[in-house]
Amino acid sequence: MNSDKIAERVCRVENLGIALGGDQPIPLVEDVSFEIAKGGYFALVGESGSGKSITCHSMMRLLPFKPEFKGRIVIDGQDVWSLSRSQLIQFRRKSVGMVFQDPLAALNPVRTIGSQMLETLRLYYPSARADELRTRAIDALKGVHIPMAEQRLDIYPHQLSGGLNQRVMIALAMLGDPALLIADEPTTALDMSVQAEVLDLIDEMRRKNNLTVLLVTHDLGIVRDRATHIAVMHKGRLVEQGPTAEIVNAPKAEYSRELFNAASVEWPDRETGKLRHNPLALTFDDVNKTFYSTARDRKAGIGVPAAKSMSFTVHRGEIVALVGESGSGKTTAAKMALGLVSPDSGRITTHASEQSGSPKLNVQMVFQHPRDSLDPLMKVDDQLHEVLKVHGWRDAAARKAHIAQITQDVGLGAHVLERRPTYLSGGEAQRVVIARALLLKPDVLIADEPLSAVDVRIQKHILECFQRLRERLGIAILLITHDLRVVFEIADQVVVLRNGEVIEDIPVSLFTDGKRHEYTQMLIDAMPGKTAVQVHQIEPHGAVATNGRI
Amino acid sequence: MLLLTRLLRAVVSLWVIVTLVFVALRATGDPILAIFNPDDTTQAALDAYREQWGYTGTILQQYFTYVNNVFHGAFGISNMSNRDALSVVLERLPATLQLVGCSAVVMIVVGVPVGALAAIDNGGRLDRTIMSLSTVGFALPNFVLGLALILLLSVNLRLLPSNGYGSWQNLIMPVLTIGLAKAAIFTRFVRSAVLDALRLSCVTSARARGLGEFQIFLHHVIPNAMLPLVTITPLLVGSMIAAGSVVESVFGWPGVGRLIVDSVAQRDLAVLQVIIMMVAFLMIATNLIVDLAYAKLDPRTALAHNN
Repeated sequence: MNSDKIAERVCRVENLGIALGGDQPIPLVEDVSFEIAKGGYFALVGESGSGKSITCHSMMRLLPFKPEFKGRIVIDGQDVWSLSRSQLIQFRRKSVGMVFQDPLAALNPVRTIGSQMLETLRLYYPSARADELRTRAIDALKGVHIPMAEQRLDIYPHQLSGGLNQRVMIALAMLGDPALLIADEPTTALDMSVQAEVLDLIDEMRRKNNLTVLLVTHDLGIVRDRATHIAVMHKGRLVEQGPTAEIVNAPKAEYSRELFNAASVEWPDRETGKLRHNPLALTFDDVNKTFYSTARDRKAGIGVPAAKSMSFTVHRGEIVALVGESGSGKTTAAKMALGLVSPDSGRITTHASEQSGSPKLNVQMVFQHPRDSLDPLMKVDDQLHEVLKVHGWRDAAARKAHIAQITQDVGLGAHVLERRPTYLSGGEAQRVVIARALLLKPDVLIADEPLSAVDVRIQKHILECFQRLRERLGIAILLITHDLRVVFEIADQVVVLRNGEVIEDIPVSLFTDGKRHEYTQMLIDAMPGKTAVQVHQIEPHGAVATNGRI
Repeated sequence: MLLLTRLLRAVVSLWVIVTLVFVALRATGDPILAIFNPDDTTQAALDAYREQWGYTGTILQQYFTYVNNVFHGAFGISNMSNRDALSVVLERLPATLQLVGCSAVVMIVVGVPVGALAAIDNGGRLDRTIMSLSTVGFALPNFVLGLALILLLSVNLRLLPSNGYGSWQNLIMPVLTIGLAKAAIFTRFVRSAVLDALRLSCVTSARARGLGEFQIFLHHVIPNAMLPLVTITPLLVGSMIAAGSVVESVFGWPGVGRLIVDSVAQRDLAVLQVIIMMVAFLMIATNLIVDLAYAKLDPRTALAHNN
């Protein structure tokens, strides 16, 4: 234990192995070893299911199941897994603070912010007076830059924004002045513009308190500017670790290279204006839509605007990206285009071409969660046949031929048709959903965050699939996303939305010319891994279409 | 504002119940012929009764007379005792309220800790034992449990009187019969509510902050587990009144439940009508209270209505 203090290692994980117990244990994490030096900023990076969350939860013995544990975890001079129950509680109070992915869920919804802070402060000052604790709580909130700290004590978590809630979580985690702060995907549930603020706050805490940070994330972009060390995790094992500069400049493992590539941003420099001359596929003309929570609000006119004089066009063969933060009206626009929500005023027109069967059905949707939008009990083949049967395809042979053609178009093997969705990978499932949308030969395909539920390597395949579809079939794609990297990679036209208003409607090549609306600029600035962008940004936009990495 | 809309909704529910009672009574045939045997009653007498109880005129006129009567508290005369139906029911009410109230206490006092224990030991031996007992408990018909208690406590051990009303000894067995049967169901609800609450991210985060398990349970698990339980409790308490009709008969308890059985047997429609409306009124009132309590317990719903 002494050697840890001499080497000033706050945290040492040795040959960690965690398996789900049972007659045949299922290994979740195998042979993971790393060390974090005092004051270090260690990033554990990997896709969902790579075992990174299990690793960090095991460091506080917070696993939701009884695991088969192997190896040793030493934090702040304590062998975590050999602590007694009461030692463990002291360890959690004093040695480690933890910040969670969804701050709203991590705070108790039925109790005020203040009561949760006071209850935690009481652990450290058992005999302090109530008003003394309250002062300390206010100071703690001020310490994480929460405005009107005193008033915030008496309100509930749902009355605060996600960013402020995460600040409260950080304040709570820092109350015991821990040696190590574990942040498990602390920005994943937050809006893009808030992500940077929260990460800045963690940086500030680290500097001020000489804190050691372990950041767990799937997003390489957000750590390469901040972390001192990066470890890449894949399928329960560490594939590579080292100082950030080393990993970023010369990743050794094949997997980290792929992960890194997917996270890199290339400035859009392709020519995109051409497609604007194609025939129209979808037009929004002065569309308005306001949501009211009650009939009384409707009378009083107090509502949430989801579309305010929204106008934009999508042309054949074009990919238009609808960009904005949550609540900006992106999804409402998609629902209106599909006819699932009717606008209060204005016109939405879909322009049928010869290829589509009926003018009503030429808009199709690809959903965010591919697995949720497939029936888990039905074979893929049957689900695809069902769509055609509903629309009057009586001839089984014709259906079969059509399905074979479409599945080939999206790059799926025939074997997938015989499976049930449970046995598909994330990428396969998303392509099945795309194939299902294509069956009725749509003119417009609407994709609502189609990449957010699949891991980075699959994202590339899906984007390639979209690219092929618009080139070969001339389909127009309305791509809803919050991720500017996807926009840069594939979109021709960008429509930026804020509170239901169109702020920008420009070709993607003009997106970074520095003359953008301040909101757009803020979105660009908040983009993770932005520093890498500046390296690539030699000329704002070239004359030649290089087509990037696609 | 919230209170006002809820109250309005309660009044509308009551009116719907009153109307349904009217429809049910008319749909089952001429109410006068149901009470009097036409063979030994003269036509003139039948008509006189029709006139007296508002069974003349078109069905719509009868409806308005009926609603008007109900509104003024005139529920008709019980033909069993020839007294005002409302007072016949009201004098039985205290006994039933006593029975239901005590049973509800037994249900909660047994159900909450036992259900919570089962949830904490999820999948363990204690959990499995509790769940098996709970299955037995709610599969057992009320009269079987009641008779078994009589056999054990009255006949064999001679500890308690087998029926009657008036002292606390009389209360024990009927309360145990209803309370334990409902506790068996309630335990399951408590168990699943606590299990859900234990899985909440805020419980993990409280644990990460180094709070003790007992404190976490008291301050984070219970308040969150309360929410689904508050919704189900009045339903279970309501079903106790229904269980009362059997249990009160078994133990000779002079409550509303036994009155239901008697008045069905005697075709005393006026009394039945009052009981139906009263039970409906009690249910609506408790649901109103629960709605208001829910807004207090879950600040999120309170906000949704204030916005």
